[in-house]
Amino acid sequence: MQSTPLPSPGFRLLRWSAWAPGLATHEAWAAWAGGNALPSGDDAPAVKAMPPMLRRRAERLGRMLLETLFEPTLAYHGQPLIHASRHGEATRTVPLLTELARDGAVSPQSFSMAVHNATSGLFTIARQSQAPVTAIAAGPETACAGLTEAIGQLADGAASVLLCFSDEPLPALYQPFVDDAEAPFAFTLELATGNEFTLTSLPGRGGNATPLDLLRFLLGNASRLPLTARGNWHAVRTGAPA
Amino acid sequence: MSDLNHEIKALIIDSLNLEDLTPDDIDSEAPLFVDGLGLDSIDALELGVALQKRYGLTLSAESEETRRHFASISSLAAFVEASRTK
Repeated sequence: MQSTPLPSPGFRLLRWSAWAPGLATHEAWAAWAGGNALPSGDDAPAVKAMPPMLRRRAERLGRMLLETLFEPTLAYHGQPLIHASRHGEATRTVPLLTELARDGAVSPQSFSMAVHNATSGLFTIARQSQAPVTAIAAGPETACAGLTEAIGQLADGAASVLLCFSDEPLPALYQPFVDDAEAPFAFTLELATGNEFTLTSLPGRGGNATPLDLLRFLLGNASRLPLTARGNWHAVRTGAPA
Repeated sequence: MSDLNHEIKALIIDSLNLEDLTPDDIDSEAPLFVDGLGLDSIDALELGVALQKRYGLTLSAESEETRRHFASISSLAAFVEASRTK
């Protein structure tokens, strides 16, 4: 029996937006992509585009993501939303668990915002969108898992999807478990079906890409990026027109 | 009573992260939920926890009475005045 090789899964990058302390414009991010520094700092964006009664629910991590989703160039019109974050709202859950252990009661508001799809849900409430929201946490493979989900939803017929990533340094309690470079950031990629970039598995063992490694690759001109240690998946820049 | 009104307004602003408001912006007689101040069901839970912690009240989440207490700042103040244990 003859088998036809499956086509390499791929995508086109239509638009993007990103926010981190000190990096608020496309120009600043383009310059960042050419170096190897990580964002750092405690600033949070204003998220002026969001109604204050909804905005008040979000803390720094959520505000960074919301700032990228409200970016005008993204022109949100109900695209399906995929939000991948390795650690999510850990800066909320640690104080919540501490409070629970001490008082036996927690803040309902903070609890409701501590779940992994809370911020993306808040965005769809603000935009009165009924588009699907998918929330992903996949440890050190979070970047690749987000891409895989996006490619899957495109294959399933979505015209384009918004793939968002956000994370921030873990609270002190979890610092002994940190195993990759930590930085505060959020970014959103609008992806469509295509072959500008493809995913491919190579022989041997590769390395895991963080979401910021992925952003740097997409904005730069390197020919490929190792995505996962397991399976040695790579993202490949094909040179096909976007 | 007006001191208690002011205190409850400050508690609401603080516990519900109403970052742009001051106590003077909140009308003591206006509805707190949906219309008026525009709070929602998560705010109701949050405010219930804050009131229980601050004043040692007991609240029943389902009762029609609780709904009436939460109508406005004035009705909340009257309820706190009558039921506080601290």
